[in-house]
Amino acid sequence: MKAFSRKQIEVLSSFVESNRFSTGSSNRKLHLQDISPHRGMLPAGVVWPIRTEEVSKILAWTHQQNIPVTPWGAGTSTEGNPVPTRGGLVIDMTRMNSILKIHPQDLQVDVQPGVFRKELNRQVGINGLFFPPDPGADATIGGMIANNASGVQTVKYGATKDYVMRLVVVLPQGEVIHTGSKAHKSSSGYDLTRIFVGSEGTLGIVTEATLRLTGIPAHHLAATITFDDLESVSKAAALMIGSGLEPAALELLTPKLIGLMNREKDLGLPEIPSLFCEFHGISKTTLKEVEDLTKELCRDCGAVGFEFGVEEGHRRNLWRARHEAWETIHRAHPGKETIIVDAAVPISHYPEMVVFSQNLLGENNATGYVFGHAGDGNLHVVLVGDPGEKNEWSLLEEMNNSIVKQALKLGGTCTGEHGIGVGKRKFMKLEHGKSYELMRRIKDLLDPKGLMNPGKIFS
Amino acid sequence: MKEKIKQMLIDVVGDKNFTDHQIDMISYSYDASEHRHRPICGLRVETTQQISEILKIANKERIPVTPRGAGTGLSGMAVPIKGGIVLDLSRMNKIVEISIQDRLAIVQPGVVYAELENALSPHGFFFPPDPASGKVSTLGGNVATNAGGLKGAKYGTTRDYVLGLQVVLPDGRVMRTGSKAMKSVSGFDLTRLFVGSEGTLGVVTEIILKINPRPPATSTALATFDRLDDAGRVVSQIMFTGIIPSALEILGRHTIQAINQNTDLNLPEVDAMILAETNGYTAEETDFQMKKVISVFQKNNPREIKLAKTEEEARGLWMARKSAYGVLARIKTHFVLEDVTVPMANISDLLKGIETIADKYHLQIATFGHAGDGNLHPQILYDGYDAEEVARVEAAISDLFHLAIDLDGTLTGEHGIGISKARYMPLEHDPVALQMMRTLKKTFDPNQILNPGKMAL
Ligand SMILES: Cc1cc2nc3c(=O)[nH]c(=O)nc-3n(C[C@H](O)[C@H](O)[C@H](O)COP(=O)(O)OP(=O)(O)OC[C@H]3O[C@@H](n4cnc5c(N)ncnc54)[C@H](O)[C@@H]3O)c2cc1C
Ligand SMILES: Cc1cc2nc3c(=O)[nH]c(=O)nc-3n(C[C@H](O)[C@H](O)[C@H](O)COP(=O)(O)OP(=O)(O)OC[C@H]3O[C@@H](n4cnc5c(N)ncnc54)[C@H](O)[C@@H]3O)c2cc1C
Repeated sequence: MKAFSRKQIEVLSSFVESNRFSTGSSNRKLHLQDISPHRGMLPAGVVWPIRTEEVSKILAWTHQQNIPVTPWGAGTSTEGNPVPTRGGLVIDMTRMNSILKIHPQDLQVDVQPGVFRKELNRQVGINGLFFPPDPGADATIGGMIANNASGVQTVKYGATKDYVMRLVVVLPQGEVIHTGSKAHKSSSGYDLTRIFVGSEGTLGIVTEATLRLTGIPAHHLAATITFDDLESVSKAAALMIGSGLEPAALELLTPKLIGLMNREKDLGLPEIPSLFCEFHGISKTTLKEVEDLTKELCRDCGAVGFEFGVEEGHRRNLWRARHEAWETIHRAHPGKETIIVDAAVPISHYPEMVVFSQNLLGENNATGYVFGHAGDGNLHVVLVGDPGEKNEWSLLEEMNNSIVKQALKLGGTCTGEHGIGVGKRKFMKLEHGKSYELMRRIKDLLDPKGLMNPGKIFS
Repeated sequence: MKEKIKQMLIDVVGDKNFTDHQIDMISYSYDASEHRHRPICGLRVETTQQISEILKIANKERIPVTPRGAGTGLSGMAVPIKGGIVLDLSRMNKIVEISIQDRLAIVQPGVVYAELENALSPHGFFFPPDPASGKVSTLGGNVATNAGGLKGAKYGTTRDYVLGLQVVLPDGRVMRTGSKAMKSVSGFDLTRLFVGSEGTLGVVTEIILKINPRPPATSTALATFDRLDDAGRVVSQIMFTGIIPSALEILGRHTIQAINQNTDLNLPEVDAMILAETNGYTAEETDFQMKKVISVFQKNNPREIKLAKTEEEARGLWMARKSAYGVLARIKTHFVLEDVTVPMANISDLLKGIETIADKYHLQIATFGHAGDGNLHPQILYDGYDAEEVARVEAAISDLFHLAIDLDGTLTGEHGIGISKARYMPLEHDPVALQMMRTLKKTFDPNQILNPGKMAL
């Protein structure tokens, strides 16, 4: 759907104040792509609701008019998740951005979906609390819930799904549903909250959430550990997890990426396979014990260098550099696009996956960077190329396919954190078999006309 | 049941695994709740394939099928209220794989919680949900009810540990959900939909569980408080220090009195008693946490604080809490054990509200529970042969549920809805949510054969 009729524009304008609905071309173009190469169809208009009732009215009407709708957060997805594939209406949630109430005694907060993660952490930080899921980008809470986002601290603290207690969602036909409760746990009926978390805006629009928070750790210890080869570094990571150490972050980096990071940020890191890790603890002595154990394990795996107790300024720089890895890669290859592999495997297979991926890059003489949230078996390979160069791009697609197939063979998944969006739909049947059909039925049940974020998850 | 169908079922499971003997039908007619209903037959299944074939037959013939683990449920979930077939899963009791390296275990549903514990323990690992019924209840039952336990505040409940499932759908199709990866965002989270679904959406035949390293050191302390308010404050203040105790249990006055009348523990008869346990990898780590807990105790007018110096002493401190259910269960002919859960800061309001309800209906209600995650177990003791008292109990339960919902809570923190709480579902869930649950049920099970009559579906 390319454009609204005059009548439709009139109706839409009646749902919100005039400055919160636009058919202007610059606003429409701003809602055409996330960070992936997937291009949608220019939406016919963009609306910025600020109340659940507005969203409800809009969806009841778009459903009746057969207009495709796509919710939009910060647009930082990597698989085309918020891209309007069929035009229609984009519902931008960023103005629905109040932190409604912090409940420090319950370790909870009520938020609207357009609140940004960093802002939330600034506000609840005043109470000594934080919301742990930390994707590299400053995403909205709604986008994080819809993608079930995670980040470097997920190995210890879990993903977004572990922090969502209660939701208000507007269903594709405009009905408002309340799921979950503020109770810390519940066995009451089906877990509807969890169906919406990770559903990528295909089942409804989240307009309010109650999130669990946790106390800011008293002490942390950051470390970098270096190795001579990829196999040793990934074995060390797997062993740290298998032996019961509980790092708060355990990231694997490979020489080429470290090289880019050094050049851009002047970090002075040795350009050999490395682990960035962090440990959180209640006292310095416990952290000292963790340090000793980690050193012993890593030495057994062939570690060649340790820096424990990374100084605070440097620690912040390291994490910023890690969070910006994707941007750094893009800046190093201007004009190119990327495919981001996001497979996850059981941790014992991690070394195999890392070596497999690195070899694949070598064999195909392709440009790519291997890194990942090693602690939870999540591997990223950023493949760099030009979608216009058909041969080159299809080679990258092939490599993406082989890595995912390998991960599935090892009992893993095609996406640990980025979601299916447009880009990974091709893996759904392979990964899920019969349960794919069941997902499809749930989608049809809630959105019989297929208007809610169409073209995502399902082919 | 028609002879022909009976024969078809016998052909699937074999003669010795089919029963319609009266004595077996009586055993299959109840769980740990007050609900009773006999099935027509019971089938002791051993393979996924058998379950698939049974469900195909049942679906075609529209025979109700109720999955059954150990039958320890407290809300009538495994009671075959519409008759039909009981699917006894207790023989599917193999631990398929334990991978310490991957921090996961793959089990069949009939494995008893404690058996998995025993298998993990030599590796220094454990499966944290820890329901008090762990010595008998099955992992399939734990998954189907989303069981929780003492360690909930720190470790969460069963659903936080289920990575993937093999499920037989009501039409006999077998499918898998999830994966062995620690995280995945691939499509809708069907795994979570099955967890806590009380056997109404599918029969779980294999479970991939995340396991945790077991911190070897623990530290235990107990404090008593003359005033409920002080105890309530202690709970939220402890959670607020950032220390998460591995257990934080509370016992109310009536529970303490009942224990004193029935044991020689000689507890001080105060408003509330709080038991805290911290754990960690070293004694130092746990002591450090315990010091913080104790400093919170001290700030809130405790009558007495006891810190266990030896494991023996720790066991002593636990005795009162562990004896509560058993002691209370023997006092009158009947009891109901409720399971309401509220946000932590509302614990003392919940406790006070329960006392008010007890006074209003002249009932003996003894309360204990998992304060750290806001989950209380008011146990209402009554004479089941006294119709007038039974009516008061029912009214009190209704008041209790209203109270929990008013305090932003839930009807059940860990025991499930089953038959007992079905009619209170609209109190907690809005009509759209209830409608969505029912539509999901219909999509999975159009002929309503799987565990019908539960959860207000
Ligand atoms: C540099 C960089 C690093 C990243 N690192 C990570 C990482 O480590 N881990 C990780 O998980 N992700 C990572 N991401 C991906 C991305 O940041 C996350 O997926 C994030 O959750 C997207 O949030 P958003 O606000 O940008 O949502 P958008 O991209 O705008 O939308 C995401 C999805 O949510 C839907 N949506 C948005 N708001 C709502 C709502 N209110 N209700 C219903 N649906 C809604 C959209 O339709 C879309 O399907 C990274 C991205 C970048 C650019
Ligand atoms: C003394 C006592 C203490 C208890 N303490 C706790 C506690 O601390 N925490 C707690 O959470 N609960 C507790 N319970 C309740 C009970 O033990 C739990 O609900 C337990 O999870 C039930 O397991 P079960 O094997 O007995 O299941 P059952 O009672 O046999 O069945 C429970 C439900 O699960 C379904 N089911 C069983 N197996 C499967 C399967 N394979 N596939 C699909 N559905 C299936 C059944 O249909 C039924 O709906 C306690 C009970 C008692 C009697």
